[in-house]
Amino acid sequence: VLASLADGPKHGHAMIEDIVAMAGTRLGPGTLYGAITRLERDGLIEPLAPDDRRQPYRLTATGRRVLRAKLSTLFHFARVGLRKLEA
Amino acid sequence: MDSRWARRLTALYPSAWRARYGDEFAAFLEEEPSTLRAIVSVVTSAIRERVGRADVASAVPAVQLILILPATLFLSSVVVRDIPVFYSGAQWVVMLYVGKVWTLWLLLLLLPLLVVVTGCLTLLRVWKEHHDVATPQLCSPPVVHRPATRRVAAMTVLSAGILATVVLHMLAS
Repeated sequence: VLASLADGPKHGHAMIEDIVAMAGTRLGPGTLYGAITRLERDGLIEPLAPDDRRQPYRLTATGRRVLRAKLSTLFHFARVGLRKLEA
Repeated sequence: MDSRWARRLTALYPSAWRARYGDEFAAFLEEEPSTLRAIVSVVTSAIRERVGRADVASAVPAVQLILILPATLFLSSVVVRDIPVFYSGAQWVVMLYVGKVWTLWLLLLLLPLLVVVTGCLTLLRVWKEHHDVATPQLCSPPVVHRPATRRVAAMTVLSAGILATVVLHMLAS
């Protein structure tokens, strides 16, 4: 969800489609809103003004920092794993 | 999804959650296809919200309180038995404990020690999560300053006080 919001605010359905494109996994509505609840509670995302009946969300500064750190960790992990595999 | 079904599924969530997300979630569901997978996803998520992490976290200080209650009762009785109006009841409690040696070890030493150890481990875990750069999502202040964490800290300090009192008393005797 954080990675989906990295390139700008999105509402729920846009997030789901974006996550399908990125990860090949379609989140269920309960799963998505469970994640939104936790991420908003932890101050990583925030709601914007509703667009008609759709509620867009965006990353907060903390969310952006957390996403960057997590992706860096994953990147490092993948790089080391691939290096080991090729050795 | 039919708006009536969307409202019914939204109603499965706790009221506090619905007050914040209810309207937007119902609107979101109306645009979702009515598949079994979507319904299962909503039902399991609603259950998780009802017995979620917050409840599990708040159970720790509650269990700690139950574990130190016998020791607290004993020490309170020792203190208040000097007051004439409480004497008979307090003396009965004190004699009940003193009458069985195992109560001293289990209720006055072992259980408070257990609370101190679990409390310290819980607080250490929270502290590590707060400072761990590998899990920066936990760096946000709400995790450390949640009421459950403060209650764990309070129970741990209280248990340490009880344990110190009992140990000092045993050494003095």
